[in-house]
Amino acid sequence: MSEQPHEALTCSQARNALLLQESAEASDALRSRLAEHLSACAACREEAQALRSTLGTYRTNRVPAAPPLQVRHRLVRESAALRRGKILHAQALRLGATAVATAAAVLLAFAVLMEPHPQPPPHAPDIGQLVDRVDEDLQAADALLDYANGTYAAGSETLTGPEQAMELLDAFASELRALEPVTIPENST
Amino acid sequence: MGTVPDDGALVRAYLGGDAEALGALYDRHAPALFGYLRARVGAHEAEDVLQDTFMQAARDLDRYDHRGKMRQWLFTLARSRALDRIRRRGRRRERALGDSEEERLSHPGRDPLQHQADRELAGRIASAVAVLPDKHREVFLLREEGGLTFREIADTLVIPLNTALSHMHRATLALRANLADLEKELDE
Repeated sequence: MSEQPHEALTCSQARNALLLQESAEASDALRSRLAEHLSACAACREEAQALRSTLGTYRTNRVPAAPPLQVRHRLVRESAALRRGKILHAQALRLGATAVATAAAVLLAFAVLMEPHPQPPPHAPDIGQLVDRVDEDLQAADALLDYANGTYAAGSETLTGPEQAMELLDAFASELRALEPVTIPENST
Repeated sequence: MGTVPDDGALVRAYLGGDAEALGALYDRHAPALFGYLRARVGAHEAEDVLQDTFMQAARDLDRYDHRGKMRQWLFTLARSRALDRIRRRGRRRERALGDSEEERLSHPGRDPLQHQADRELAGRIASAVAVLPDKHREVFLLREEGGLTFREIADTLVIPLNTALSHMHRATLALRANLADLEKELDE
């Protein structure tokens, strides 16, 4: 333990220290400085005694607070409804996202397969890969739809959880946004 | 014996769909909040404010920072609602004990004369607190009814710690003067 010298408390500091000691917030060092001050200061000893007495009178005679039970019952009932509402809202949002992703995937597949262009651009995507990717995304969207409908089974091959599904959809949306106009060579089918 | 779940565990249970976990949070924190609110807005309005506070908490729990202090957060919500009520009813004097407090003060099975004496005593104590200057009373009630530490009080009221301590000191001095007669009677 360090034995560093410390400054003696003033009466004003001692008053604050008394309150902090009373609320169990005083450090050991502060308590020790307070004890030192009180041993030497009769006025602060009196002050400490008066503080204890006043707080003691208040605490002994105040009316104990008994929060109403009916408020508790109402709270539990209404908060259960609130949680149900929030869960339904979240499910509706997921369902909406699924529908949008599904529609986007279908449109993309349609655009990729149908858009005629005489010349391929220098870096045209591989059509087979693109179709495979759309197919995977559609599976992800289906699985997410199952999840939103409550029929999703954990551990499915496509998804391991809703977070992964949302990640897949986010990635898919990014891909959509990044897509250049696709050109399909005439000889590809 | 099972361990008592802490506030964070109760919040997680509630967010996981266990509404009774919110009831457990109420059991833990409502007495302190109700004691404070009763002294600020009167017992009748304290019930409404208490319910508003917990409903607001229920709505915001998914955004609540679990590392924070639940009681302090609830007091911040409760204070804001209590102050709204006080502002709304203008300068009308805050009631220390409301009408419905009469009922709460009754303890069936105890001596009726003792009831009367307890009620008078509690009324005098509450009145002595009610006439404290607002800033001093706020710190006093947050400490004595809410059980907040002075550091938590300083954070809640956004004032320096020394200011909170100074308000408490002045509150106890004034209360001592207001309760001097009562303390004498109790000593006799």
